[in-house]
Amino acid sequence: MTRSVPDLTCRELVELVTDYLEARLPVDERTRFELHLTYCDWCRTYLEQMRQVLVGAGEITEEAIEPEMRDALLATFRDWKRGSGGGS
Amino acid sequence: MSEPVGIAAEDRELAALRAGDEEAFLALVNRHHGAMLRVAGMFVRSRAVAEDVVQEAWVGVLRGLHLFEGRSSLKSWIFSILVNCAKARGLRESRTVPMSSLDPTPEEDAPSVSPDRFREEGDRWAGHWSAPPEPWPDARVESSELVALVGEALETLPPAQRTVMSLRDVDGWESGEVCEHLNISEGNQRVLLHRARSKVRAFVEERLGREGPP
Amino acid sequence: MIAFKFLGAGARAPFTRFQWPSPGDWVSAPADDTEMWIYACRRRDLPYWLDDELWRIELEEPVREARYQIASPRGRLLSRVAAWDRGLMRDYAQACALRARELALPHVPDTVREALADAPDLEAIAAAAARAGPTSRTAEYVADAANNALHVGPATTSYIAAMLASSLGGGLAAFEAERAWQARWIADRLALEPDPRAGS
Repeated sequence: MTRSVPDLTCRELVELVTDYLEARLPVDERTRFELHLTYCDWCRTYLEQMRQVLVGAGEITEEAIEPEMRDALLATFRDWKRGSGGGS
Repeated sequence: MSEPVGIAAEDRELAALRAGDEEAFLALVNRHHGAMLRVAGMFVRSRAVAEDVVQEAWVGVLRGLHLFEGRSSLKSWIFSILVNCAKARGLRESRTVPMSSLDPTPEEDAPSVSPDRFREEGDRWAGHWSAPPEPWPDARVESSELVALVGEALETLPPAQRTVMSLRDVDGWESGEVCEHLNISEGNQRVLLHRARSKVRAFVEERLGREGPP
Repeated sequence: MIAFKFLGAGARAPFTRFQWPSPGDWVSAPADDTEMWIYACRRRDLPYWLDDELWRIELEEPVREARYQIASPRGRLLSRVAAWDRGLMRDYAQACALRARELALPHVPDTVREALADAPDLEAIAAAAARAGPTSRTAEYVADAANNALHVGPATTSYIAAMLASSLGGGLAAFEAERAWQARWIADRLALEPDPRAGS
């Protein structure tokens, strides 16, 4: 019965969140997704949390390179420079 | 998130490298180090071997620098060298190269949210939330707590999911770059990303919910 | 073409978070990517997209028409429809809940029909409908609509009323007919001009 109206269930929506955020939903499904969000505060919260997770992930600072490895790479670079005549 | 490097900036960077500029080299190393370890880690057994592979890749990059013609981006070229090194090492370790481990497993069909949080079949609102998510308190979202929780959650993920989400959402890679270097299809990439993000959200929700407001 | 657009508080687009500039300033989307176009409502689309602020928007041709919305590559806000405010949203939610009761009355158990018909306000409607218990899904929808009008908001209430209409046998056509009733209610109360083309 509910399938005949332009709608999704919340359970379906949570599986489409990534496709939605990646702009990969076919246009009809995107419309259903957004129609659902308009009346469903809960799914709006869910989507908002997903966005908050992505912002959080973007703020993770990469672990710095270990000093030994940094020194080793720098030594490699200096060898290469000497060998290749780099710097010329 | 790594800074995107524009074409002109990349030309300057390349010129500096070729001229033997150590600062430029170290900047490049630092920018890609995390992602290089991650990608290498998909092909070899241990962190120590991945570090070896990264080092080997840089040697290859420097050796080939005079041949690099800019048909791809410098980043893309560096990672293709890295992947070649990592694959070769993986084969020597007789470890399966990750084409198989990167295919979504049956576990990937697991729902993003536990089914018991939705109303049951037969209910007039079947499939709608019965235990909906509660908004997270602003103070905790805006603090460094959320960032730390996301980092912790990433560590709990299966390797393929962790790698894809880290490359996309921590390193800021485009989906096409992930597909190219991990040699997976766009669809697989999205399934892995979806599973990863859903689990990370659930992890954060569990922590913020369980610990309650500060 | 002049159309309507619902935005969140502060003229922020509800899904993309796009911050709309001041009225009169044009906004352009990539013309070759229809996914990114600017979406708007005809009068008849209004009930599907409720949000805090209602604006009149001018869309440049070509305007692409879809079943529940229209889209264009370029548009600008003209003016806010100030009458769409908290008070009117409450009135609208109540009207949708009352309408749900009206639609439901012939279909609820005899034991609750009279009490439901006589219920003087939303609380009483919710209580009377709840007395039918789980034996009547139609009554449950009426209770849902009344409770949502009281505690949640107009978007959910009007959706429930349309779902109730479709559940009485008419399916999608009944759902859309109820949405059309809702669109007329909004347009009448806001004295909105009719859609320029076929429809409404």
